[in-house]
Order: sequence, then C-alpha cells, then structure tokens
Amino acid sequence: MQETFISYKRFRWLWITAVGLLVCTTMYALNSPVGGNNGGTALGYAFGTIAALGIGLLMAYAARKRAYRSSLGTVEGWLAAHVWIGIGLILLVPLHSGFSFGLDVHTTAYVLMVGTIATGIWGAVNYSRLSGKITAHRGGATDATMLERIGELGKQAEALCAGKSEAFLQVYNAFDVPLDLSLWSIIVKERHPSVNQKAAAVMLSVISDAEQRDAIAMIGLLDQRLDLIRSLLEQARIKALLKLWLYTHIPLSCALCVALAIHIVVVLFYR
Amino acid sequence: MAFRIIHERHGSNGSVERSETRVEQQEIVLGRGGESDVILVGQRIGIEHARFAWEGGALAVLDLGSLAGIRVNGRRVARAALADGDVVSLGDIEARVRLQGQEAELTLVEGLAQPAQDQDLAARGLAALGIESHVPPMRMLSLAAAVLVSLVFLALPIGSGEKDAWSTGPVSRAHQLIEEDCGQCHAKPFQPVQDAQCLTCHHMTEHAKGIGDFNARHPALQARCAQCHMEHNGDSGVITHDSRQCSSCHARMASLQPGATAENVPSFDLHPQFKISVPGPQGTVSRVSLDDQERAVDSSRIKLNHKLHLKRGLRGKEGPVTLECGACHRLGPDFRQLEPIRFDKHCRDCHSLGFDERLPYEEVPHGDAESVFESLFAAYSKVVLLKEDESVPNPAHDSTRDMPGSVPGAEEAPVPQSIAAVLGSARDAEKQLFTKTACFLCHSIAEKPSSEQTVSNAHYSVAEPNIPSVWFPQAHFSHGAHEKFTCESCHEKARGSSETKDLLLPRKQLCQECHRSEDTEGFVRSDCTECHSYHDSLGFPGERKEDIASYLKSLTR
Repeated sequence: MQETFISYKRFRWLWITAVGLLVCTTMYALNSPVGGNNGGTALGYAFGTIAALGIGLLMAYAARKRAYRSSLGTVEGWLAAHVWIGIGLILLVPLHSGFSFGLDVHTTAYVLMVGTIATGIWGAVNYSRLSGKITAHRGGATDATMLERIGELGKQAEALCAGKSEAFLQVYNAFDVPLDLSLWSIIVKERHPSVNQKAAAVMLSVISDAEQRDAIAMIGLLDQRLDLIRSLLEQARIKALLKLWLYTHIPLSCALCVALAIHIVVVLFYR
Repeated sequence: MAFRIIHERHGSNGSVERSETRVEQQEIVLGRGGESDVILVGQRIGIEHARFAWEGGALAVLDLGSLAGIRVNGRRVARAALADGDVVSLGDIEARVRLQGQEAELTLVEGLAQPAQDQDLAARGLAALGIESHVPPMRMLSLAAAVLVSLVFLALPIGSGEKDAWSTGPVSRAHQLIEEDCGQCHAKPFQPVQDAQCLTCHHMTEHAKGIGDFNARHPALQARCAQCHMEHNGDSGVITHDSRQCSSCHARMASLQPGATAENVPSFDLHPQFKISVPGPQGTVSRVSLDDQERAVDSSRIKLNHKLHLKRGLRGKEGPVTLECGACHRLGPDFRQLEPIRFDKHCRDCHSLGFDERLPYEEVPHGDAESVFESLFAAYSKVVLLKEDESVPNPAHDSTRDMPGSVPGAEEAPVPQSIAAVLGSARDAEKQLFTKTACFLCHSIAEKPSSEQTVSNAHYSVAEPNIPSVWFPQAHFSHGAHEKFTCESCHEKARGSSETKDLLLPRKQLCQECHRSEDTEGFVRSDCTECHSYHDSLGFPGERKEDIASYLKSLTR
C-alpha cells in the first residue's frame, strides 16, 4: 500500500496517540479522587492542559502548512500528527472532565471540538477516496471547452426545432434538461439523466416521417449534451467535496478556539 | 384589445434604457426585420420571430419559424396560450407577460443575464462549477462562528448576568438560593474560594476554627473549607463521607505535626483500639485504650452487679421476676442513645427505700444524706404525734416481705415518747440504711468523723457515683441502628460481670466483624463519618439571624 498522510511512517502518530491514550486511560481508571473524577482534580488539570496543548498543536498545523521555508518536520508528518492527535482528543477530553457534560460553555467547547474533528475525518476520507478520481475530461478538454460544447450541442438541438410540429417540440422539451449548476446539483443530485431510449422510441413513433430524421438527430445531440454535463459535474462534485469539508472544519475550529478560551478563563476565574 | 410594450435595454456597463409604447391592435409581430411591430436586436432573433395575438379574449404566442424558437417558462413551444406572469424567451430576449383585462403588458428585457443555456454560459458556468461561488468566504464563516460563540458565551452572560452557561455543574441544594450570585462564594477572580466567604453564613464550631491555627503552624498545607466541601458536584460533593478527607492528614499525623500525640489512623481497618475518656485530676481527661486492662476500668462509685441482676427469679414487688438488659437500659427518644439510669425510673420498683416495717408507707427520698435523715426524723415525729390520737391504728404489721431496703426481723417498734426517742429511732434507721440496707447496697458510704456529727445533721456521707454518661465522647454510636441485635452480642461479658469495675464495652475487633473501611462483600463499608463528625452540630448565633424576607431581597436573583 502506498504511504499516505494517514499511514505516514508506518502509522507513527497513530501509535504515539494510542499509547498516550492508553497511559491516560490507565491513570484515569486507577485514580479515584474524593468527589469523583472531574476537571478540577489534579489529574483533571493535567489532562486538560495536555488537551489544550494538543489543540494548540493542531491549530499550529495551519501555520506550518504555510511556512514553506520551515524545516520543522515535514508537512506530511505534521498532517499525520494533526489527524491522529485530533482523533485522540475525542477520548482525552472526557477523561479530563470525568465524563461529565452539561448545557454550558464547557460542553459546547467539547461539542465544537468533536464537530471539528468529525469534519476533519470527513475531509480525510474524501481525500483518500476521491483524490485519485480527479481525471482530465475526454480528449483533455478543459471545463471551459466542455461548457462551450454543451452550449453548442444545446443550440444545435434547439435549431432543429425551428418550424417543427408540436409532437417534435414535445420530444425536445422532454430531453432538454436545463443545466443546473446549483451546489445541491453539483454535490448530491443526479439531475441530468441520459435520454431514456424506450421513452424516446415511444415519442418518435408519433412523429411524422418527414420530421423523423431531424428528431433522431436532435435526441442524439441532447443525449450527447447530457453525457457531457454528467461528466463535467462528476469532476466538479469531486473537487467540491475536496473543498467543502474545509468550509465546516475551519469555522468550527475557530468557534472551538473561542469556546476553549472562554472555558479556560471561566474555570480559572471561578476557582 | 391592446398591447403595452415596455422595452428595457441593459447595457454591459449597467445602464438601463427604457421606452414604452401602447398599440390598439389585435396582434403584434416581434422580430429583427423592419416590417415587425416591435423591432428587436439580437443574433438569435429571427426576422419575424414571434406573434402575440388576442384570440377570443385570451392571449397566445406563436413561433413564426425562427431558428432559436420561443420558450414559455423554459419550455420550447410552437404556440402557447399565455397567462399573467408567464415569461417568454425569444432567443436572447425575455418577455415578461402581464395581463390587465383587455390589455397585455409585455416587458421586453434585452441584454440581461440569461439562463445558463445561452451564449455566455461558458464564462458563468465555469465559476458555478467551483464551490467558492456558492458559499460565503471561509474567513467570513470563521469570523461569524467565532463571533457567535463569543456572543452566546461571553457577551450574553456578562450582559444579562445569567451565568448558568459558565457553571461547571449544579450546586448542592443547600446553596441553590445563592446559586445565581457567583460572588457570594467566588469573591476574588482567579483565587480559590476563601473560608471568609463560607463563614459569612456558616457559624463554625471550635474544631473548624482550629484549622486556622493549624494553617498558621503548617502554612504549606493551607487547609480550606472548600477543600473538603466541594461545590458544583450537586449534592454529592459538598458533604462527602469519603474517609480520605480525614486520612489525608490523620494517616500521617506524626509527620505532619512532629510531637503530636494523636496516633495515625489510615482507615477503620487500621483504626487503633478504641479509647475511653477517663476523668483525671483537675478536670483533665485522659484517654485509655480498651486494651489497657489495668486502666480501662469503670471507676464509677456505685456498686453494680450485672450477674446478680440478670439471675432468674429475683424477688420483685409482685413476685419473682427475671430481668433482661432492657429492663434498665432503654433506647432514648433520639433512637440513638440509651436513657441514663435513674433510680426512680429503673431501680425503685425493686429497691424499696422503706426503713421501718411498721411504717410500710414511709420511704426516704433518693437524695443526699441530709434529706434522708430529715425525712427519717420527720417520719418518727409524725408517729409520736399520731400516737396521741388513738384512732390511728398501730402502723406495725407482720409483713413477710424480705426486700432490699426492708428491715429484716424487725420487732414491734417502741413508740417514741419524746424528741429524744424520735431522734434515737431516726438515728437507728439512718444507721441501718447507710450501713446495711438500702443506701449501702449501691452507694459508697462513709461515716462522718465524730467532730462533724451534730444532733441534727446526717452522720453519713454518700460519694458522688460519677457514672460516665458517655464513654466515647469523640464518637457517636447509634443503639437504634443496632436494635436488631441482642445487647449481649456486643456487651458479651455483661451476664458474667459481678463487679462495677468491669468495663463491658465492645472492642474494635467486634465492630470489625461487620464493618470494613473499604467496600467488601458481606460487610458494611464504614467511613470515618460513620462514627466521627468533624464539625459538631452547627448553631447560628442569635445576633446574626435574619428575617427571611429581607434575606431573599438581598439575593441577586
């Protein structure tokens, strides 16, 4: 298997995180402070400090990623640490709080952290599943030439409609699916199905012989157009998914930083 | 039948040119050609592109064979009936239809952004393919998220004073009244809760005040109320019964306080033998281990023989009786402690204080020696006075009762004829009571030296019994909680004890048959607080009491 940022140096950061968590969990299990485990015990403070430093390290990845001249580890190594330490925090923080949660800024910080990590995992999954699927369009066409060709095919089909019968126009309307470039259409919905040959055959049967040739040509053009749209949108979908997670990951991490800062100040203010 | 044509031409620089004409016609033709009623400009407009016509009161549009054709609401048509609000596309131009009675208003928009189908699709579609054109900029989203969190969890709590969102957990029920006012306990920012805040409301007993002295001697420890009483853990934290609260110091007293006499007590399993408090000289109290067989004795000056009292078939007032422990030792109203033994309540039924069989209704009081002598003198004086009245029968009778306190084998008493005789009888009875019968049976009696004896005072003195009411003043034991068990399961030697000095208290080994310091199957887990309290019962000083209404008003809620 080819090494990725997940498996970086034989899962080095997975092992470091797992061993760290094992040590913390063992300490937690053996610790039985008066009043039960919570963030205010000695171990609670220790875990809280480690978790806060961990979050700091994860945020520092953003800086390291942009520091092209830095020689402090490789960016790939940083990303591997970013992923695995982030996942480890999901367990470390409850160990810090003694698994107590409530409707407050403290639990909100945890929820935001879990949200940030979850969207990060979404991003990592997207990268490993989709980044290999980015390919060039047929014939090495760019998005722009694809769009141009889609437009041309549409116009050619439209031109064939001039002066045709109502039945002919009905066939045209059935397969002239407008190009939908909304985010929903790009990411989720398959809104451009190819021409249903059976339905087309039924419709063609009521068209006069004189218009048959043009009708078949028109359906061919529209089908070709839909084909191009689907292949254009498939690539757009992959590129969108490779970016969209970041639009949740980054804002959530910013919200987390603010909530974490409030959490730390509040618990130290009201000791 | 009329058409109102509104022609909007949008320039690429954002300018809009608008013209309006009205024609009274049945139909109009739109197209690029000069013959058209409305001349349109555009590459995809046919010379005669479309005809709008009133047909029987309804408006319709007809494709006149143009290359680009016409679309009504996006659908390609050859002809169509039109309704109010329809949008008709003619190549690059859009016609919005409004119907007002017999007049059709057509707004022709030229040069406006067209649906993606059209010519500049490539440029606009290219942008739409990237998600940047669909979502707000990342920086804006990040800023919005950060601002939202700051507003909800910083600005709102500070602005409204509602700081629930900052609380790390529910406070105990005892503090719910002041929960909203954080400053009641958290007086200084970034500083742990100080004792002064606790003492504002709580009046503390001496043991707690001792913490201050303790801290002065051991500044490194800095013990605080809040170290043991942990808030924001609901009811479970503020008063915990965890032995480690105590053992954190008591397990290592010797190292904490060099020279301390207190033994190390890590847990109940390792508890040293129980110690009784024995009054020493000048009000001092010495503590003696139950293992110290020479000193751990009951030094009460009362003669008590448990063995004798528990014998079967004792002679009682109304025939033979067999006493059980409960005949004398009864559970008090607090369901914890035993009632103290009182002569009148527990002894009198059997122990008569009669002194003369001939005077069966006369008894001396259970009091000091002086009262006893006075009552004897009074009793015999009465006999003399009554003797003068012959109607009163001779009180002498031949009772067969032989009870403690009675005068066995007493003969017919001579009736005193004078003060000297009264005094003589009283002195005889006094001697009997204090040296042979009633008083002598239980009390430690001394005859006063002759120098202290007068005609009218008592010639004997009774030593103070000094029965301790509590043997373990530092611990509390509930007899009620142990009511299921027989007394003798703990006070094992009671039935065989014939001497007062026998201390019948259970030793710790006996308690440990049921009690353990850790959770152990088949045992009762017993923390320090099972028997000991740190603070004694708290009383609130009168001068600091408040009116409920004004107190509630003083709270910020």
